[in-house]
Amino acid sequence: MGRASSRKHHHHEESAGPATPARGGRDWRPWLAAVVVIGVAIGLVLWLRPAPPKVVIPSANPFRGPAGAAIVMTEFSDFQCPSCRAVEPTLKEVLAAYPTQVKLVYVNFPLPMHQFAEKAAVAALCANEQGKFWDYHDRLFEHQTDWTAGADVRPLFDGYAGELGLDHARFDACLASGRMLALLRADIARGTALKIEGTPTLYVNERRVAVGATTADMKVMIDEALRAAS
Amino acid sequence: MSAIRRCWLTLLSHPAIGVSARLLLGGLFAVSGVIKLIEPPENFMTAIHAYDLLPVWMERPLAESLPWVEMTSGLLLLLGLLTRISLAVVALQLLVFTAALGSTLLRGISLEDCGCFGSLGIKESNAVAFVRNLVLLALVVRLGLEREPRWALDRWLQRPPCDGGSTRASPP
Repeated sequence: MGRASSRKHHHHEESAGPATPARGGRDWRPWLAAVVVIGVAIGLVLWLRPAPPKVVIPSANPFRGPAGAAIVMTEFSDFQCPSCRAVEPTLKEVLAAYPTQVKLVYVNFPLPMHQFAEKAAVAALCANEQGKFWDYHDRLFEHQTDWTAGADVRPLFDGYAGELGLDHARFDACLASGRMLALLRADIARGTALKIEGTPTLYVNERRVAVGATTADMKVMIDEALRAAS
Repeated sequence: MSAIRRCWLTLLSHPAIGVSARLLLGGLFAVSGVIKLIEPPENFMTAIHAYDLLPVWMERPLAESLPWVEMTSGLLLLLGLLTRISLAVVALQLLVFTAALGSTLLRGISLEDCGCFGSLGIKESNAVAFVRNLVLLALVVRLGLEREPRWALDRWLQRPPCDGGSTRASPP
Protein backbone atom coordinates (compact mmCIF):
# COMPACT_ATOMS: atom_id res chain seq x y z
CA MET A 1 0.00 0.00 0.00
CA GLY A 2 2.77 2.32 1.02
CA ARG A 3 4.65 1.36 -2.09
CA ALA A 4 1.63 2.03 -4.24
CA SER A 5 1.10 5.44 -2.75
CA SER A 6 4.75 6.33 -3.20
CA ARG A 7 4.52 5.35 -6.88
CA LYS A 8 1.40 7.44 -7.21
CA HIS A 9 3.16 10.39 -5.58
CA HIS A 10 6.07 10.02 -7.98
CA HIS A 11 3.72 9.93 -10.97
CA HIS A 12 2.08 13.09 -9.70
CA GLU A 13 5.47 14.78 -9.58
CA GLU A 14 6.29 13.71 -13.15
CA SER A 15 3.08 14.97 -14.66
CA ALA A 16 3.17 18.26 -12.82
CA GLY A 17 4.38 20.13 -15.88
CA PRO A 18 7.82 21.02 -17.10
CA ALA A 19 10.77 19.90 -15.05
CA THR A 20 11.45 22.16 -12.15
CA PRO A 21 13.48 25.07 -13.44
CA ALA A 22 16.97 24.53 -12.29
CA ARG A 23 17.48 25.78 -8.86
CA GLY A 24 21.01 26.54 -7.88
CA GLY A 25 22.13 26.46 -11.53
CA ARG A 26 21.21 22.89 -12.39
CA ASP A 27 19.88 23.65 -15.91
CA TRP A 28 23.38 23.68 -17.43
CA ARG A 29 23.37 19.89 -17.31
CA PRO A 30 21.36 19.29 -20.52
CA TRP A 31 23.60 21.78 -22.31
CA LEU A 32 26.74 20.06 -21.07
CA ALA A 33 25.31 16.66 -22.01
CA ALA A 34 24.39 17.99 -25.45
CA VAL A 35 27.92 19.30 -25.99
CA VAL A 36 29.36 15.92 -24.96
CA VAL A 37 26.93 13.99 -27.20
CA ILE A 38 27.60 16.26 -30.19
CA GLY A 39 31.35 16.06 -29.60
CA VAL A 40 31.30 12.26 -29.45
CA ALA A 41 29.08 12.07 -32.55
CA ILE A 42 31.31 14.40 -34.56
CA GLY A 43 34.39 12.47 -33.44
CA LEU A 44 32.81 9.15 -34.43
CA VAL A 45 31.76 10.44 -37.85
CA LEU A 46 35.20 11.89 -38.56
CA TRP A 47 36.78 8.60 -37.44
CA LEU A 48 34.39 6.43 -39.46
CA ARG A 49 34.52 8.63 -42.55
CA PRO A 50 36.51 6.70 -45.13
CA ALA A 51 39.36 8.46 -46.88
CA PRO A 52 38.26 9.32 -50.42
CA PRO A 53 39.35 6.49 -52.71
CA LYS A 54 41.85 7.29 -55.43
CA VAL A 55 40.71 7.56 -59.01
CA VAL A 56 42.70 4.78 -60.68
CA ILE A 57 41.79 4.18 -64.29
CA PRO A 58 43.78 1.71 -66.40
CA SER A 59 45.50 3.10 -69.46
CA ALA A 60 43.43 0.73 -71.62
CA ASN A 61 40.37 2.95 -71.20
CA PRO A 62 39.63 5.19 -74.20
CA PHE A 63 40.95 8.72 -73.91
CA ARG A 64 41.09 11.98 -75.84
CA GLY A 65 44.12 14.27 -75.75
CA PRO A 66 47.83 13.56 -75.39
CA ALA A 67 48.72 10.28 -73.62
CA GLY A 68 51.26 11.95 -71.34
CA ALA A 69 49.15 14.99 -70.43
CA ALA A 70 49.86 16.61 -67.06
CA ILE A 71 46.17 16.68 -66.13
CA VAL A 72 43.86 13.70 -66.38
CA MET A 73 40.15 14.33 -66.50
CA THR A 74 38.05 11.24 -65.88
CA GLU A 75 34.48 11.02 -67.05
CA PHE A 76 32.10 8.40 -65.67
CA SER A 77 29.32 8.40 -68.21
CA ASP A 78 26.22 6.61 -69.46
CA PHE A 79 25.30 6.75 -73.15
CA GLN A 80 21.59 6.81 -72.35
CA CYS A 81 21.83 9.66 -69.86
CA PRO A 82 20.63 13.05 -71.21
CA SER A 83 22.92 14.97 -68.83
CA CYS A 84 25.92 13.06 -70.20
CA ARG A 85 24.96 14.14 -73.70
CA ALA A 86 24.49 17.72 -72.46
CA VAL A 87 27.98 17.87 -70.93
CA GLU A 88 29.73 16.81 -74.16
CA PRO A 89 30.07 20.35 -75.65
CA THR A 90 31.54 21.59 -72.35
CA LEU A 91 34.13 18.81 -72.38
CA LYS A 92 35.03 19.52 -75.99
CA GLU A 93 35.53 23.21 -75.12
CA VAL A 94 37.76 22.31 -72.18
CA LEU A 95 39.87 19.94 -74.29
CA ALA A 96 40.19 22.57 -77.02
CA ALA A 97 41.40 25.10 -74.42
CA TYR A 98 44.15 22.76 -73.16
CA PRO A 99 45.23 20.77 -76.22
CA THR A 100 48.55 19.64 -74.76
CA GLN A 101 47.85 19.62 -71.05
CA VAL A 102 44.62 17.71 -70.55
CA LYS A 103 43.65 14.14 -71.32
CA LEU A 104 40.02 13.02 -70.98
CA VAL A 105 39.54 9.36 -70.01
CA TYR A 106 36.16 7.76 -70.58
CA VAL A 107 34.79 5.26 -68.06
CA ASN A 108 31.49 3.51 -68.66
CA PHE A 109 29.03 3.75 -65.82
CA PRO A 110 25.66 2.62 -67.25
CA LEU A 111 22.93 3.26 -64.71
CA PRO A 112 20.55 0.35 -63.99
CA MET A 113 17.54 2.56 -64.72
CA HIS A 114 18.61 2.94 -68.35
CA GLN A 115 17.45 -0.04 -70.34
CA PHE A 116 19.89 0.23 -73.26
CA ALA A 117 22.86 1.90 -71.57
CA GLU A 118 24.80 -1.33 -71.03
CA LYS A 119 24.28 -2.46 -74.65
CA ALA A 120 25.43 0.95 -75.87
CA ALA A 121 28.53 0.77 -73.66
CA VAL A 122 29.39 -2.68 -75.03
CA ALA A 123 28.88 -1.49 -78.62
CA ALA A 124 31.19 1.48 -78.00
CA LEU A 125 33.83 -0.82 -76.51
CA CYS A 126 33.53 -3.08 -79.57
CA ALA A 127 34.06 0.00 -81.75
CA ASN A 128 37.11 0.76 -79.59
CA GLU A 129 38.60 -2.59 -80.70
CA GLN A 130 38.69 -1.13 -84.19
CA GLY A 131 40.02 2.25 -83.03
CA LYS A 132 36.71 4.06 -83.48
CA PHE A 133 35.56 4.53 -79.89
CA TRP A 134 35.22 8.32 -79.98
CA ASP A 135 33.45 8.35 -83.35
CA TYR A 136 31.02 5.76 -82.05
CA HIS A 137 30.69 7.64 -78.76
CA ASP A 138 29.80 10.84 -80.62
CA ARG A 139 27.34 8.97 -82.82
CA LEU A 140 25.59 7.43 -79.80
CA PHE A 141 25.16 10.80 -78.12
CA GLU A 142 24.11 12.58 -81.33
CA HIS A 143 21.40 9.96 -81.96
CA GLN A 144 20.52 9.31 -78.32
CA THR A 145 16.85 10.16 -78.76
CA ASP A 146 16.60 7.77 -81.76
CA TRP A 147 17.97 4.60 -80.22
CA THR A 148 16.47 5.15 -76.77
CA ALA A 149 12.98 5.46 -78.29
CA GLY A 150 12.86 2.06 -79.95
CA ALA A 151 12.49 -1.43 -78.60
CA ASP A 152 15.44 -2.96 -80.42
CA VAL A 153 18.69 -1.04 -80.51
CA ARG A 154 20.73 -3.62 -82.41
CA PRO A 155 19.82 -2.51 -85.99
CA LEU A 156 20.65 1.11 -85.13
CA PHE A 157 23.94 0.16 -83.45
CA ASP A 158 24.86 -1.96 -86.50
CA GLY A 159 23.92 1.01 -88.69
CA TYR A 160 26.25 3.39 -86.83
CA ALA A 161 29.05 0.82 -87.11
CA GLY A 162 28.46 0.65 -90.87
CA GLU A 163 28.42 4.44 -91.23
CA LEU A 164 31.77 4.65 -89.44
CA GLY A 165 33.30 1.99 -91.66
CA LEU A 166 33.75 -0.65 -88.98
CA ASP A 167 34.33 -4.25 -89.99
CA HIS A 168 30.81 -5.65 -89.60
CA ALA A 169 31.80 -9.25 -89.00
CA ARG A 170 34.30 -8.26 -86.33
CA PHE A 171 31.84 -5.86 -84.67
CA ASP A 172 29.10 -8.51 -84.63
CA ALA A 173 31.48 -11.14 -83.30
CA CYS A 174 32.55 -8.78 -80.53
CA LEU A 175 28.94 -8.06 -79.53
CA ALA A 176 28.08 -11.77 -79.60
CA SER A 177 31.13 -12.85 -77.60
CA GLY A 178 30.26 -10.81 -74.53
CA ARG A 179 33.97 -10.30 -73.85
CA MET A 180 33.47 -6.56 -73.37
CA LEU A 181 31.21 -7.24 -70.42
CA ALA A 182 34.24 -7.95 -68.24
CA LEU A 183 35.71 -4.53 -69.09
CA LEU A 184 32.35 -2.94 -68.48
CA ARG A 185 32.00 -4.63 -65.07
CA ALA A 186 35.49 -3.38 -64.15
CA ASP A 187 34.52 0.19 -65.07
CA ILE A 188 31.32 -0.04 -63.04
CA ALA A 189 33.27 -1.44 -60.07
CA ARG A 190 35.62 1.56 -60.23
CA GLY A 191 32.68 3.96 -60.13
CA THR A 192 31.03 2.05 -57.31
CA ALA A 193 34.27 2.18 -55.29
CA LEU A 194 34.22 5.95 -55.71
CA LYS A 195 30.62 5.95 -54.42
CA ILE A 196 29.37 7.42 -57.66
CA GLU A 197 25.59 7.48 -57.85
CA GLY A 198 24.87 9.46 -60.96
CA THR A 199 26.27 10.42 -64.30
CA PRO A 200 28.09 12.29 -65.60
CA THR A 201 30.63 12.32 -62.79
CA LEU A 202 33.84 14.10 -63.66
CA TYR A 203 37.21 14.37 -62.01
CA VAL A 204 40.14 16.67 -62.59
CA ASN A 205 42.95 14.43 -61.37
CA GLU A 206 41.63 13.38 -57.93
CA ARG A 207 39.19 16.27 -57.48
CA ARG A 208 35.56 15.68 -58.22
CA VAL A 209 33.90 18.29 -60.41
CA ALA A 210 30.68 19.76 -59.03
CA VAL A 211 27.45 18.89 -60.81
CA GLY A 212 26.47 21.63 -63.23
CA ALA A 213 30.02 22.95 -63.51
CA THR A 214 30.52 25.21 -66.50
CA THR A 215 33.50 25.36 -68.85
CA ALA A 216 34.83 28.26 -66.74
CA ASP A 217 34.50 26.23 -63.51
CA MET A 218 36.41 23.33 -65.04
CA LYS A 219 39.10 25.68 -66.33
CA VAL A 220 39.57 27.06 -62.80
CA MET A 221 40.06 23.51 -61.49
CA ILE A 222 42.48 22.65 -64.30
CA ASP A 223 44.50 25.83 -63.76
CA GLU A 224 44.76 25.02 -60.05
CA ALA A 225 45.88 21.48 -60.84
CA LEU A 226 48.44 22.79 -63.32
CA ARG A 227 49.80 25.23 -60.72
CA ALA A 228 50.01 22.40 -58.17
CA ALA A 229 51.82 20.18 -60.67
CA SER A 230 54.42 22.80 -61.66
CA MET B 1 -17.70 15.32 -28.46
CA SER B 2 -18.38 12.00 -30.08
CA ALA B 3 -17.01 8.82 -28.56
CA ILE B 4 -14.86 8.13 -31.62
CA ARG B 5 -13.32 11.58 -31.46
CA ARG B 6 -12.65 11.19 -27.73
CA CYS B 7 -11.09 7.82 -28.38
CA TRP B 8 -8.79 9.30 -31.04
CA LEU B 9 -7.76 12.19 -28.80
CA THR B 10 -7.01 9.80 -25.95
CA LEU B 11 -4.96 7.64 -28.27
CA LEU B 12 -3.03 10.58 -29.74
CA SER B 13 -2.30 12.06 -26.35
CA HIS B 14 -0.93 8.73 -25.06
CA PRO B 15 2.67 9.19 -23.92
CA ALA B 16 3.80 6.22 -26.05
CA ILE B 17 2.79 8.11 -29.19
CA GLY B 18 4.91 11.08 -28.17
CA VAL B 19 7.93 8.92 -27.37
CA SER B 20 7.56 6.95 -30.63
CA ALA B 21 7.21 10.15 -32.66
CA ARG B 22 10.32 11.61 -31.06
CA LEU B 23 12.36 8.46 -31.61
CA LEU B 24 11.17 8.19 -35.22
CA LEU B 25 11.88 11.82 -36.11
CA GLY B 26 15.18 11.94 -34.26
CA GLY B 27 16.27 8.59 -35.68
CA LEU B 28 15.40 9.58 -39.26
CA PHE B 29 17.33 12.82 -39.07
CA ALA B 30 20.31 11.31 -37.27
CA VAL B 31 20.62 8.40 -39.73
CA SER B 32 20.14 10.51 -42.85
CA GLY B 33 22.75 12.98 -41.57
CA VAL B 34 25.32 10.27 -40.79
CA ILE B 35 24.83 8.53 -44.15
CA LYS B 36 25.43 11.79 -46.03
CA LEU B 37 28.47 12.56 -43.91
CA ILE B 38 30.26 9.29 -44.58
CA GLU B 39 29.86 9.49 -48.36
CA PRO B 40 31.33 12.05 -50.75
CA PRO B 41 29.56 15.42 -50.41
CA GLU B 42 29.24 15.49 -54.20
CA ASN B 43 26.48 12.87 -53.98
CA PHE B 44 24.35 15.19 -51.87
CA MET B 45 25.37 18.10 -54.12
CA THR B 46 23.96 16.14 -57.05
CA ALA B 47 20.68 15.68 -55.17
CA ILE B 48 20.52 19.40 -54.30
CA HIS B 49 21.31 20.33 -57.90
CA ALA B 50 18.34 18.28 -59.14
CA TYR B 51 15.94 20.59 -57.25
CA ASP B 52 17.10 23.51 -59.40
CA LEU B 53 16.46 25.97 -56.57
CA LEU B 54 19.84 27.34 -55.56
CA PRO B 55 22.75 28.91 -57.39
CA VAL B 56 25.51 26.37 -58.09
CA TRP B 57 27.99 28.12 -55.77
CA MET B 58 25.68 27.45 -52.79
CA GLU B 59 25.39 23.72 -53.42
CA ARG B 60 28.76 22.66 -51.98
CA PRO B 61 28.54 24.70 -48.74
CA LEU B 62 25.01 23.40 -48.20
CA ALA B 63 25.94 19.79 -49.00
CA GLU B 64 28.82 19.96 -46.55
CA SER B 65 27.00 21.68 -43.68
CA LEU B 66 23.39 20.49 -43.74
CA PRO B 67 24.17 16.82 -42.87
CA TRP B 68 25.91 17.99 -39.67
CA VAL B 69 22.79 19.93 -38.68
CA GLU B 70 20.59 16.94 -39.53
CA MET B 71 22.75 14.56 -37.52
CA THR B 72 23.12 16.70 -34.40
CA SER B 73 19.50 17.88 -34.24
CA GLY B 74 18.29 14.32 -34.88
CA LEU B 75 20.57 12.82 -32.27
CA LEU B 76 19.59 15.37 -29.61
CA LEU B 77 15.90 14.83 -30.36
CA LEU B 78 16.37 11.06 -30.24
CA LEU B 79 17.97 11.28 -26.81
CA GLY B 80 15.59 13.97 -25.60
CA LEU B 81 18.37 16.48 -24.95
CA LEU B 82 17.48 20.16 -25.36
CA THR B 83 14.31 18.66 -26.75
CA ARG B 84 12.47 21.91 -27.47
CA ILE B 85 15.40 23.41 -29.34
CA SER B 86 16.23 20.24 -31.30
CA LEU B 87 12.55 19.82 -32.17
CA ALA B 88 12.45 23.41 -33.45
CA VAL B 89 15.56 22.82 -35.59
CA VAL B 90 14.13 19.56 -36.97
CA ALA B 91 10.79 21.30 -37.66
CA LEU B 92 12.53 24.12 -39.51
CA GLN B 93 14.46 21.66 -41.67
CA LEU B 94 11.29 19.69 -42.39
CA LEU B 95 9.46 22.86 -43.43
CA VAL B 96 12.29 23.86 -45.77
CA PHE B 97 12.55 20.33 -47.26
CA THR B 98 8.78 20.16 -47.73
CA ALA B 99 8.71 23.57 -49.41
CA ALA B 100 11.57 22.51 -51.71
CA LEU B 101 9.79 19.26 -52.61
CA GLY B 102 6.53 21.13 -53.15
CA SER B 103 8.23 23.60 -55.48
CA THR B 104 9.60 20.75 -57.62
CA LEU B 105 6.10 19.31 -57.88
CA LEU B 106 4.67 22.70 -58.87
CA ARG B 107 7.38 23.19 -61.49
CA GLY B 108 6.81 19.71 -62.91
CA ILE B 109 10.28 18.43 -61.99
CA SER B 110 10.18 14.69 -61.53
CA LEU B 111 12.83 13.36 -59.16
CA GLU B 112 13.44 9.62 -59.06
CA ASP B 113 15.22 10.05 -55.75
CA CYS B 114 14.67 13.00 -53.44
CA GLY B 115 18.16 12.53 -52.02
CA CYS B 116 16.74 12.50 -48.49
CA PHE B 117 18.63 9.46 -47.23
CA GLY B 118 21.87 9.50 -49.19
CA SER B 119 22.88 6.06 -50.40
CA LEU B 120 20.94 4.21 -47.70
CA GLY B 121 18.95 2.49 -50.42
CA ILE B 122 15.66 4.27 -49.71
CA LYS B 123 14.79 5.96 -52.99
CA GLU B 124 11.70 8.11 -52.79
CA SER B 125 10.24 10.23 -55.55
CA ASN B 126 9.57 13.89 -54.74
CA ALA B 127 5.82 13.23 -54.55
CA VAL B 128 6.22 10.39 -52.04
CA ALA B 129 8.75 12.37 -49.98
CA PHE B 130 6.39 15.37 -49.93
CA VAL B 131 3.55 13.30 -48.49
CA ARG B 132 5.92 11.60 -46.03
CA ASN B 133 7.14 15.00 -44.85
CA LEU B 134 3.57 16.15 -44.22
CA VAL B 135 3.10 13.12 -41.95
CA LEU B 136 6.38 13.93 -40.19
CA LEU B 137 5.24 17.55 -39.76
CA ALA B 138 2.07 16.26 -38.07
CA LEU B 139 4.31 14.35 -35.66
CA VAL B 140 6.27 17.56 -35.01
CA VAL B 141 3.01 19.33 -34.11
CA ARG B 142 2.09 16.44 -31.80
CA LEU B 143 5.49 16.71 -30.08
CA GLY B 144 5.24 20.49 -29.90
CA LEU B 145 1.99 20.20 -27.98
CA GLU B 146 3.56 17.97 -25.36
CA ARG B 147 4.12 19.79 -22.08
CA GLU B 148 7.12 17.70 -21.19
CA PRO B 149 8.70 14.93 -23.24
CA ARG B 150 8.73 11.46 -21.70
CA TRP B 151 11.74 9.21 -21.69
CA ALA B 152 13.96 12.18 -22.38
CA LEU B 153 17.40 12.86 -20.94
CA ASP B 154 16.35 16.47 -20.30
CA ARG B 155 13.87 15.31 -17.74
CA TRP B 156 16.33 13.00 -16.06
CA LEU B 157 19.07 15.63 -15.92
CA GLN B 158 16.76 18.31 -14.55
CA ARG B 159 15.27 16.10 -11.85
CA PRO B 160 16.11 17.17 -8.31
CA PRO B 161 18.87 15.01 -6.83
CA CYS B 162 16.51 13.48 -4.21
CA ASP B 163 12.98 13.96 -2.98
CA GLY B 164 13.69 13.72 0.73
CA GLY B 165 12.96 17.37 1.38
CA SER B 166 16.46 18.69 0.88
CA THR B 167 15.40 20.69 -2.13
CA ARG B 168 12.32 22.11 -0.46
CA ALA B 169 12.45 25.81 0.08
CA SER B 170 13.09 26.62 3.70
CA PRO B 171 10.37 28.54 5.51
CA PRO B 172 10.96 32.24 5.94
